[in-house]
Amino acid sequence: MSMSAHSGDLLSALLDGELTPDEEQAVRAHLSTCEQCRRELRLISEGRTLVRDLPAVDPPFGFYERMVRPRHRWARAGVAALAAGAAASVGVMALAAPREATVSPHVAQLVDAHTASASTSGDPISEITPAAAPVSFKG
Amino acid sequence: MKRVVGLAVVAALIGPTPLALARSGGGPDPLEEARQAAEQTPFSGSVTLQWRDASVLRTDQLMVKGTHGTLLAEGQRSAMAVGSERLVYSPGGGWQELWPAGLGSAGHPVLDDAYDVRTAGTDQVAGYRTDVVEVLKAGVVRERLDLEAATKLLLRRRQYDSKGVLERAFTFDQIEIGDLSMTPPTAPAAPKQAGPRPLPFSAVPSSEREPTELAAGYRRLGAYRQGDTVQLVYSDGLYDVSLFQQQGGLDTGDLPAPRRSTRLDGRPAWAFSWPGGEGIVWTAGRTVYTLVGDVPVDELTTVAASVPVHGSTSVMHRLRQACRGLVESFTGAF
Repeated sequence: MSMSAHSGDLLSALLDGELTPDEEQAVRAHLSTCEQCRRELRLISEGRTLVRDLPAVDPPFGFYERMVRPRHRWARAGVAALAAGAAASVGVMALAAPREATVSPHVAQLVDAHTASASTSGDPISEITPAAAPVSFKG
Repeated sequence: MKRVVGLAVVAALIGPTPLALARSGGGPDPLEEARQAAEQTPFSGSVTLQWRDASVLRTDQLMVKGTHGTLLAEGQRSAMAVGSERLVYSPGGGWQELWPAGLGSAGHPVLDDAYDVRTAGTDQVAGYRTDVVEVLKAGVVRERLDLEAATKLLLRRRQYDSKGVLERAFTFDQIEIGDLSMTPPTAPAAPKQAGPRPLPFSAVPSSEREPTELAAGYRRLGAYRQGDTVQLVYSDGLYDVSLFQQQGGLDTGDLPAPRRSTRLDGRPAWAFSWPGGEGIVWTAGRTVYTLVGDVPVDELTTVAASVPVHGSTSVMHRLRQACRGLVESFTGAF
């Protein structure tokens, strides 16, 4: 790094510890010989300290909304068109979907159907007798 | 009466299926002997049923009689077997045909494909001497059968789970055997026809076609359709299970009130018991499955877990349904 090539942005990076060892060595070598860069480094450091000491301030009411709201009529129309298109897509998809049938397995009937088929191949007495038992599947 | 005799003749002509007769080794199949005895032996008596509902052992008592190939069990409802026809009577609905005679039997695999069968001495049931037969799987007794020594009528049947705990029992407390003058139960003249119809495997919708075997040695024997419900029948030679499949989303509101919440391979499922067996309901993709069987609950769960579920619904389908749900949340159902 020559005398004419001042450190510039590298000074801020030096304070942030973002330089590689070789870069840091070169910048420090330059600072040892350049009063202008030493002064600039001091100013950057003081400025950083001042900024960091400032109190946090809440944005005024409605700041974000104003920032997000499009200022131009054509932008608002674009957003509205997008929203309408999305809603229309949802509607078309909904209409294209057949209503899903719901199934309530009638367990008593299924048990009867099983008992009937099972009793034709096994011992019919012990298989069919439970079908006459007073069991309710309802609460 | 003509109807009873006619159906009995039809049943005799249909006879046991080749599967049922095809026992490969050892002695005769005790359940096949019991089946034949039930069709040929006049008897009348009272039966106590015991079944386990979760941790509670429930009991009920019924009257049972049979002669000339017709059986009648009477409790709060009545159930009848006339040859291979099955009927049930309920006070509100009259006689209803559950299984038409023309369907015959789905049959079952030979017992000793999956079980060991051994004699275990003699006992006394309702005053009759019985030959005790034990049916074992993996060295554990799963059933004890008491066959009346002279006729081979099944007088007691006790079923155990894989840990040897009694799950279900059928016991004659009192029985009169061999009264040839006994009149057969009168079959209803015109029951409501509501039974299933056979469904060739090739005609089973691809979304409902299942493999020829399920876990624990259950083989597919038949397919039937009743309304929108497809019933696939499986058996391991001792127990039968029916896999019912219905297309749609599950509405849990009409499931049995005394049900147990459980999980099946991570999916929510609902189990229930009745005097003759166990059942479990679950859903996968767009299909609601109900597996019902006269099997111990641990085995039913194993079999249910082996049912291959159809792939989940497509992304597009789920997207459409989500859109429909969104619109319906504003407009109501349409």
